[in-house]
Amino acid sequence: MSQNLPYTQSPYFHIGRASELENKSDRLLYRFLEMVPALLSWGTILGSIILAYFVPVAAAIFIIVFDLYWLLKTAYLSLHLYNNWKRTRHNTSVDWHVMLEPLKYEDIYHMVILPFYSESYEVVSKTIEAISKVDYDLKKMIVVLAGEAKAGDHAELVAERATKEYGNLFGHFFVSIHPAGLPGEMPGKGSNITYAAQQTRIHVLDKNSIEYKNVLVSAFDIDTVAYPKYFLCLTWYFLTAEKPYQSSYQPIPLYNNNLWDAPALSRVVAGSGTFWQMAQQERPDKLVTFSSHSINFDTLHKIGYWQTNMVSEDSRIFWNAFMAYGSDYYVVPLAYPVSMDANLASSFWQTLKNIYKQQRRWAWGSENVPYILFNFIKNKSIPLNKKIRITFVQLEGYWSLATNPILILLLGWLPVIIGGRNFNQTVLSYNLPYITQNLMILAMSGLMFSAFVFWTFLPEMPQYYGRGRKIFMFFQWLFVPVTIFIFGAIPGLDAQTRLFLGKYMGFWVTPKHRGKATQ
Amino acid sequence: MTPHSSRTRFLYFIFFVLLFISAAPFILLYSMGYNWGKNFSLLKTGGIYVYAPQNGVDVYVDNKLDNTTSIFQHSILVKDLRPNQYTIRVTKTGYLDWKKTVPVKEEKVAEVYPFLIPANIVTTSVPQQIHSTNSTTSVLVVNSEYKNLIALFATSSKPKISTALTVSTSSTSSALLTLPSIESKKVVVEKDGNILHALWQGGVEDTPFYFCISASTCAKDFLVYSAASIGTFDFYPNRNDVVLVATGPKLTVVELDKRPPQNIVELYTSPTGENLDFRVVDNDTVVVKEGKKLTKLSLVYAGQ
Repeated sequence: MSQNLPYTQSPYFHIGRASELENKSDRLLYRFLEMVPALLSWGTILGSIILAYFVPVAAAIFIIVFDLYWLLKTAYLSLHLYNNWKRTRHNTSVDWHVMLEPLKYEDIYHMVILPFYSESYEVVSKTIEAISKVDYDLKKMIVVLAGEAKAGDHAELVAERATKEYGNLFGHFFVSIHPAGLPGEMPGKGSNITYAAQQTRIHVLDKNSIEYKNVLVSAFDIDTVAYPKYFLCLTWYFLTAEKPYQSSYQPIPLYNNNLWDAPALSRVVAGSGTFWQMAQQERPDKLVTFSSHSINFDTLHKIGYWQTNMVSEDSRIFWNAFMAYGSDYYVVPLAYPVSMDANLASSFWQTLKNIYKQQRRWAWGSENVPYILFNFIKNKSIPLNKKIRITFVQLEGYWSLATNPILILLLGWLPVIIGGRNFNQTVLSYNLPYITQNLMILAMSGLMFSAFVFWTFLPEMPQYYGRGRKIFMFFQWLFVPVTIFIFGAIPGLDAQTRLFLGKYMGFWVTPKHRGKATQ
Repeated sequence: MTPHSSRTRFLYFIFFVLLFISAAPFILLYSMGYNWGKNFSLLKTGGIYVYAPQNGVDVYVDNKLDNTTSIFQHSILVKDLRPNQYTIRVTKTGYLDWKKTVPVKEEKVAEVYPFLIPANIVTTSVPQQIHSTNSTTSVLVVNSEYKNLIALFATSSKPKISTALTVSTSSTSSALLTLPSIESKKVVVEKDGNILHALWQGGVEDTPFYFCISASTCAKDFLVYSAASIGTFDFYPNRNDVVLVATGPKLTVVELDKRPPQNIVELYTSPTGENLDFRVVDNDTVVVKEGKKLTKLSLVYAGQ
């Protein structure tokens, strides 16, 4: 880590959990902060139930006001979704060569790190193949295949085969095999890609005298397929950013690799994730890196790479940089997609289990809350107003994920059930289900636009599906009330509760399964 | 293309906040039963909830048609009523009208649960013997249906009542249960001489609406019906607020409701003037016994 960024020397900079802190009061404080998301979420849910029993009128008023808030928030986010949809359509059609003409980018390298574990060679090769077809000088591409020693011979075999098939296509094709059991590390993507980046620095960048500042690192998943103009687009945004070395670069995750083969619930969950990211791209001051993202190598090196002792390394890298640069660090929304896999397993029920586990792992991003709050307390260089704003945004985000679907779906009728006879004789009790139902129907009507946006991003339908499957792509959005509850609120609460109880989650690798179309 | 400036986004945000601040009070006031009067004054209103579990039931409020039930809507909430007394009249083709005067208080909803009796009760005689259909010669055999129905009236057996109900004749520390009585979901109807009382055995908070003359004035027991002679009595099928009472040669349907008018309908009168007994057979059928004669009464309109 860098001497120029003094906060990177702080013992709190790369903290993963409370037990890593030596000072007892720091440890207790951090432990308390780990409980905060669950306290807020469970406090809201239990408080609403208690309120519905003891003061049903207040509970009914609260839920009506809350449903109105939800309706207007949905409309507000839909506005952002629309704006980003226009920008994405523009960015996917613009000629990036023309855009880059006034800029000097011949020295810009792209390092693409592809971590893999037990994925099949077919999955790995599709991703590398897509990179080999991008519209960028392949001699300026550094492809890093990052395997795990824990996977045994499989990693070596895949790496060997990939090197043989693709090694000569790129300027540099480097294989790193992350050793198992390194001290202080949690097995997972973070530790793997950090090791790979460090090894690539030594064996590729330093060896070939490639300047760190000229390298953009894209930390992909093994199923991330880059569209042909992605690296041109990324280069342009890097070269035109206000603070290119104090910015991360975030594409939009589409889950198009196997979309036609995935079941409807999986598509709805995947699409919902895309819409959220698209809306967030229009609010760059609230945007945090997620999944596949890019960062300048010099910056990455200065802040000590991705944390190896926690799960959500994709978002944590942003917060590391944010703290290191005293909040003078940003995310540049690319409004340009990358394609990934929607959840698909060999059976329907296994698919549902995998969706739940993946959503829970993403909701485990609430482990950033104690990191942020703790470092806000310790880092005096960040302005107070920023601390307050970010604290509110982060807490509200995880709180709403875990509670809002429950409040909407359950509390619309709870005061009527448990509020007692006096409440049940009021006009309010009779109107409550009717008013909340109508507000939610209005909110659901916004799904029509979401369905349209989803439709415009659909890849070509495989020939072995009929027109019915295409039509169902519209009606599948009726599952949203189910998915936001079962694959939104419940895993969100699950993750926050585990953090509250100190039952830390490890990294769970989403199994990649391709259906008929992509095999 | 770049995202909207922070200023533009702030304006969007302010717009939605203002929309929220202006819409919330209106929605809340409407939910609580407030309405606009003349000169933009706020009026507190109440409502009446009419539950009529059949399709095609017309609900009139002070003789004005308010709504009609359908397959998707078996209950009608009459809203925006100023505090006052209102007469609810419920009609359906082939059934007798049902009427009730209900007081409405501000921010409160009064409930009514009409019962509909067919205007013309279809009666079917159950013969003791029937002609055998198996032999080549006509032979009279005992009608098994008669045999099964008459068994319901055996002196040692209890009245047959629907499975939702239980008969409570055992004595307890409460003197109430030493009288002949029937019980359904904590509503007890007992006979004391020639008077029927309704008693509520549950908590005060759960007192059924028909024990209440208004939302705040409820009784734990009240007089339901009196007649010169009261014989068998039982709950109307699927109801614990309506009873069937045999009074001499008549079978009468009596509503349990403190609010006027109390709906009382003569369901059947013995053509011979003989005292009758009855048993509820199922949701749609009552069997009446006059001496040895059994007659089935259908509680459903024949044209349905």
